Amino acid sequence: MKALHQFLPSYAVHDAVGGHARQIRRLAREMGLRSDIYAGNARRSGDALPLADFERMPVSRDAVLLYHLSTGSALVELLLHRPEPKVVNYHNVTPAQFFDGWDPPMAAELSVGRHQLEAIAAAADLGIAVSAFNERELRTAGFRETAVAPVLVDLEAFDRAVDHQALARLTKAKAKAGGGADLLFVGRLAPNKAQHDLLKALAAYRRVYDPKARLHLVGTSSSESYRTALVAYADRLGLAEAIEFTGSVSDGVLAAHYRAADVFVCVSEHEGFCVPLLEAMHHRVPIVAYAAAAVPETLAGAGVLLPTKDPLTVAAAVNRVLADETLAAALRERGCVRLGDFSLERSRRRFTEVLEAYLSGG
Amino acid sequence: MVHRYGPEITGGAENAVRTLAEHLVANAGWEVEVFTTCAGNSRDWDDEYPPGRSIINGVAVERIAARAGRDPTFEELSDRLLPEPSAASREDQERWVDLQGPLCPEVLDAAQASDASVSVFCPYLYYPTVRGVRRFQGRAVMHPAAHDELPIRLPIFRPVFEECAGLGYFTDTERRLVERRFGVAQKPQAVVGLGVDTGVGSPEKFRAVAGLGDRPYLLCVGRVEDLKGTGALARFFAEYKLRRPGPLALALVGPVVHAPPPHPDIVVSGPVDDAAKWGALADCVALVSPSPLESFSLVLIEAWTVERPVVVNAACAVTREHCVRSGGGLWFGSYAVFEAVVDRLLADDGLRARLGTAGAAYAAKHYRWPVVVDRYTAFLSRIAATA
Amino acid sequence: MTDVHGAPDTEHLMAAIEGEVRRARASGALPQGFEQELDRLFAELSPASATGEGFAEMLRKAEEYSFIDPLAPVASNIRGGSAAKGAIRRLVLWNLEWMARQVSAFDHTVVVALRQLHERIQRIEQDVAAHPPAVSVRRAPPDVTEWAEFVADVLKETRGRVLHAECGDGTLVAALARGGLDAYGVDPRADLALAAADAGLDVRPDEVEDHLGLIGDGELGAVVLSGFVDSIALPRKVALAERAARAVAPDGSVLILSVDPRTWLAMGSPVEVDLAPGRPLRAETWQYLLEERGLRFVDVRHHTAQPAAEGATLGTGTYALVMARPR
Repeated sequence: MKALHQFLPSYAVHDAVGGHARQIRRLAREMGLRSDIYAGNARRSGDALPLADFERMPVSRDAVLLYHLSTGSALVELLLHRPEPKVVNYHNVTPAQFFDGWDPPMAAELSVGRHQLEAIAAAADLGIAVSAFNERELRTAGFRETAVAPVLVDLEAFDRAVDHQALARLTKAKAKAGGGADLLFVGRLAPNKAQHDLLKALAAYRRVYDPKARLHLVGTSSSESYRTALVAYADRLGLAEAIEFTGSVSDGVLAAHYRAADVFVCVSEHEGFCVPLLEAMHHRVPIVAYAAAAVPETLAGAGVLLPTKDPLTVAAAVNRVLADETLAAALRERGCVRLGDFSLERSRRRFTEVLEAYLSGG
Repeated sequence: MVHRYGPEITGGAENAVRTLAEHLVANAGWEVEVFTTCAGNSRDWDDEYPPGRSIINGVAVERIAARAGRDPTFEELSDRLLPEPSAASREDQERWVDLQGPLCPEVLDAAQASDASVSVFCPYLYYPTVRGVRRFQGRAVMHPAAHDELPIRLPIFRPVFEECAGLGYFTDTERRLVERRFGVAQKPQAVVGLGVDTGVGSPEKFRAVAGLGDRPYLLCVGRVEDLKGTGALARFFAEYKLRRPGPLALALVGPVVHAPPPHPDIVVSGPVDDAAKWGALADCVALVSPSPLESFSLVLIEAWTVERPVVVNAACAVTREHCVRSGGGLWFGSYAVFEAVVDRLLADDGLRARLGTAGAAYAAKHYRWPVVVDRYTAFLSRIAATA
Repeated sequence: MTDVHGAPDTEHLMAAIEGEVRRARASGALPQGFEQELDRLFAELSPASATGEGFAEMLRKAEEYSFIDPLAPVASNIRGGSAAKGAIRRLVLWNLEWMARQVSAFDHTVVVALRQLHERIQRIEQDVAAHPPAVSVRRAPPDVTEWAEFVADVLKETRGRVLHAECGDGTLVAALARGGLDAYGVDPRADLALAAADAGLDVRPDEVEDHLGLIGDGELGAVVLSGFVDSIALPRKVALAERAARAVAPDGSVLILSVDPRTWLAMGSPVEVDLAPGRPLRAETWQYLLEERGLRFVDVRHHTAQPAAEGATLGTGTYALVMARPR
């Protein structure tokens, strides 16, 4: 094999999948392969190359095409019509029903994604899942060969990038308010990530335990209508001043948020892996999470895992973590241990292992 | 009070004001005085009529030249303010109203001097209404002709809606839009709508003029323009013809702004006179209204008076309201449904007849001129009594 | 709370958390219905299907989306692929996402669309059929004519507008207007409301609660509630009491015209009575609900129903309760 090229419907620098793809490109080049990222939304000047460039390349028997699948895309049709061997890196497709009411075209796209997973299963030599949770879905979809290799994420980069101005602003805000816990969730504003349930939990937490608590929701939105509803909901609950919707932020600002947070709370209904959990562990922020989809697998005991996410239970759990220093310390320790399983070095080794096994066997 | 007036003027709100005024005189024997400017066209409100008093179809019309029409810098100010209406400063908004024009305080002065029992302002957007309602308060009725559009979000309009004594609407859809936006739900109101006259035309003549032979055809009456949905309708129809070969044609009747690409089964006849329009209605398979934005859609009611079924754009709350209430029409929001609707209409004569009959009953019950005038005079009398 | 390896002992932890929750609920730190209120507030902001309200709403939403451009044969051939290959590849080169969305949205709604059309035509056919539609459980228009004189008299000094909800065909509204009051009405049955409007009355085809929700505090002179108050569910009755009480100005009145529950049970149509979400309240209960919301008792009158047979009493029939907001 001389080349390993990656394909994404859309590439974004701050995306977990984008970062993962960049790491794979680096890894592939270190293995001596030519490697580029082609994206549906790329222009020539960006980090990823436009598909048109790939289209113009002659068919090559010694290139492997790696497709990152997390939603529906006509890109699949393009790849199915190429004869080169294909590998799918599966990040999980959010179940369409989460978006049904909020954004039907996106729901349709997601359900096409599920269909396409089955369509490409027959044509792909290998499906690489980022978690065992995802691997089960690959098997059900009909992939004959599967492997699990975690997302490649460079957590050290956070330490280099902290935006101190942002950090100062967050600390000052806490001081000005005379305290109050800072709750954090990082992830796109999307119905499956259930930020509305975080708002409920904050309302309950402020009511019963800490009337000055704040919630920071860091992430851009996947659905304008959901975002609008969240903002209106925050307003209706009288929490507009206590909730920050940051939108898309730089790595530096994100790092500042992790540093300033007292607890990371996740009540997502569906995750394929949930990289922010690792980021929270890296910053030694204790985690309270609802046990859904791949979250328990990623956490593996390094956070308080709740069987239910009703607002009062989440609030009580947050209170436990913040009031009981022994518990918090134990969670942080577990987090450090768990992180070792996902260090960039270790994940790169694992991914290289999977690729080498595939390249030599096929 | 209205910004421009005349039988030659073709705006929806202006037309409504004029026909209501004329029928108040003709059907109910009321005395109606219209105070307006000399403006003719809607681009700049330039004087096109001579000032002075005249009687037009029984209505006394007093035209007074405005001090200024639409200022050339209005568009620029509008582009700046409208994207974020709630952030606009008071001064900017006042200037927006004045620059939009027509700037005509003398028209309001003249109206105030009259001894009318009740004063009607239409539409909400322009200077005469914004400045006038405040002056006439207890006697001021407004026909907002409101849509869910950017200008209505400018805070300057709030007192205009909240200070008038009563509101007259085209449809319940408009009423709900206004009641949700402004605190006016408890105000006296009437959904006046518009009256429909039955016309007569010759279907044979229309077919000849349109070159349709004896083919069945879907009819769309109104401006042929992308904003009115005719472009999308033409595309849907073209797709339909690919999948369902047959004699069905589509006739687009009205002034052409954006002509659709030429198609052997689509006839674009351009504007036609009334007789031709009624002729076209009389024989069509169905009247199609693809427009997503209608204030009332008189043509729907006209189609129903000649017992034709109608098919409307599901996204248009106004036409959909008519269809749901009357049981005289179907609607479509996607190509798939369009195809299914047209298939059913072509195949089922009984269905077309039932839809047409239901629509005719609805039109007769609510939109014959005598009924409309009764509704309107009851409303205006109530306002006059409490003024 | 940790085991020998320093990992948190989750069983104990969860038990402790659950204990906390129980204590918090019991302590009254949260007001009654707080959690339900949280859910309700968000449900109001969500599209219907997002809160699982079902298929019918989902179908309705599918219709509301703007036109989807047909892409000629591509739409029906995309899964097959060969004929459309050329078209796809051309489009792939410059607008992948748009195309995927268009095609897949079309795909998503096509089955739905045909079903909707079928249902819609059936409904229209029912409405215009020669035979009257099957029994609808919606109660008959209220007959409040027996109370018209009393209400007009009670309200004769009222300043401000008088609302009658549900006003049916507007009989009471017309009677009050004849008596010189500025009366208007609201009724969700469009056919009745439109007929009343055609007759020159200020009557709107709206749901009562929707309309009252748009009225600011103290904007009305009086509110008369009748008919539908009998059979709506209890929480709605309470909410209605709240809105009506707030809507009237100081010195304003709220009137409840209702049927006595015993009479309703005995004389109502069996289907209507059995399937109604709620039953009529006694005058004392409405009085209680409205007093709780700051109104004071003025008067109550009972109207006895005609006895069906000698010696048989059917209990009281209908009543009118008059409450007022203090000055």
